[in-house]
Amino acid sequence: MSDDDKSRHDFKNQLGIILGFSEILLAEAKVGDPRRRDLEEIHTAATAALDLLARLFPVDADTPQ
Amino acid sequence: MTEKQPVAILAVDDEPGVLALVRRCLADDERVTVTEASSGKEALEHMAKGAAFDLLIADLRMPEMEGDEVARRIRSLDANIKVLYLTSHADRLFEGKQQLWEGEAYLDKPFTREGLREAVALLLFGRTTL
Repeated sequence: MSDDDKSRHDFKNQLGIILGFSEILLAEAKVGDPRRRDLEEIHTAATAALDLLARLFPVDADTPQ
Repeated sequence: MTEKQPVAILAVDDEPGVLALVRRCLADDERVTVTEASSGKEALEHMAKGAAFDLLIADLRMPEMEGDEVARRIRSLDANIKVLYLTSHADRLFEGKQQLWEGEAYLDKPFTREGLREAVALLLFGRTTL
């Protein structure tokens, strides 16, 4: 695995952790809980960062996975 | 195995946050026990101590020993164990083979709680809910 591949993999892992936990907390937050909006912001930002990562550093089709 | 039996899971990932997420996704079910390992070597050490697991959840890409190699070695010790790979690169699983072994599946990263629980339930019970 090249350094770039490893960096992309590690960064995606971190975003996945943020997304995963925020999704769980959102599912557990009751309707009307004022923290829902904050959690939605975290979830939306992590999703956008994941999309950005895919656009900025697309996986090279020739790179062994 | 039946749905009422305890479920022992060995989760292997070099990223502690992913292990914490796997535990969070599964541990609210009191039947489920999740043992964590930060490397293939540590996973094999659990097996060497005589621990028995129903399911191995393994990151595919790890330094030193990749997930499919961990699974191969653990299967050589327990042929009945099911395997769920966590990966951002599923293509890597199909190098040199057209399909996974029986009792194996993969889940794309990033994964959701429902996605992980469904994958585990399908592998262990052949149904979509734990």
